[in-house]
Amino acid sequence: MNEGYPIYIVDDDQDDQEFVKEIFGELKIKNQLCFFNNGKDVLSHLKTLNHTPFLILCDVNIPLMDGFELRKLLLDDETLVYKSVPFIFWSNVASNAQIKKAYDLAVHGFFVKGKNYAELKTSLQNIFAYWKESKQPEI
Amino acid sequence: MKLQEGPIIVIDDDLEDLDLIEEVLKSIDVSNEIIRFENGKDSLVFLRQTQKQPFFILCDVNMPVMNGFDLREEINKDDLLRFKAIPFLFLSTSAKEAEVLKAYMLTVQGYLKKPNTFSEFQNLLKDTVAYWENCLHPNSF
Repeated sequence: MNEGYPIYIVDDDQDDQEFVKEIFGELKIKNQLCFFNNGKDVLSHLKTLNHTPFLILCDVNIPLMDGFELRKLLLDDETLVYKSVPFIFWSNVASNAQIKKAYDLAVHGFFVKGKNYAELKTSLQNIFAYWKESKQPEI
Repeated sequence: MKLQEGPIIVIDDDLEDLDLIEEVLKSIDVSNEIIRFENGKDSLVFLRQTQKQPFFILCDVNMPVMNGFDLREEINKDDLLRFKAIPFLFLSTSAKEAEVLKAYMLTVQGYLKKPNTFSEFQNLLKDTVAYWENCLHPNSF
């Protein structure tokens, strides 16, 4: 299964990147963490891999292309391989219109980051637990 | 009604499995109404006419009359049901590569394999319920 493959974190907030690193360490999650500041870097990195990531956790508001654009490009990619990678939005705030848009793009979840470290940790733990259980095609 | 309070739809042609899933959900204190169907077609009829916003759908893959893949396709084609965006999770004893891939091509939100023991089943559904409880949803406001 893909569960040993890297986890992509797409977020231009350096503090959040640090928190994620720390929390994944505390949770003893062994997957490699790949951080990206924007969607363009994600696309170019994906092309260099010969397998797909375990999951993609993506902020909505990121520079150059927002999370929705990135999601749409992955969903419409002619190879279709990215269609089976869990794509999960997370954001500090979310409007109903954004959530609606996300579901129209067939995302696998939309979470708020949590107001503090403990909430963030619970949320990441929960996301990881669910996708560790859920089967994915091996690509 | 908040999404999280909506019924859980369980679709499985094996009555013992339906009983087991319900028992597991109750044992982990899930108080949502559980609505059961034995094939995709019956559940589709219900989903098209209900005013309720289901919490999520747990659906078997191999079933008579209408299997899980065909059901997912029908939901994707239905404007109203697409708008409702009910998380659709497969729950099957079989998780062959081709089946899992096909499921994701139909944009499902998870593919769960039925565990062998009751306690593993409890853990699986605990994680699943927690995930969708915390997840924001267009109809959860």
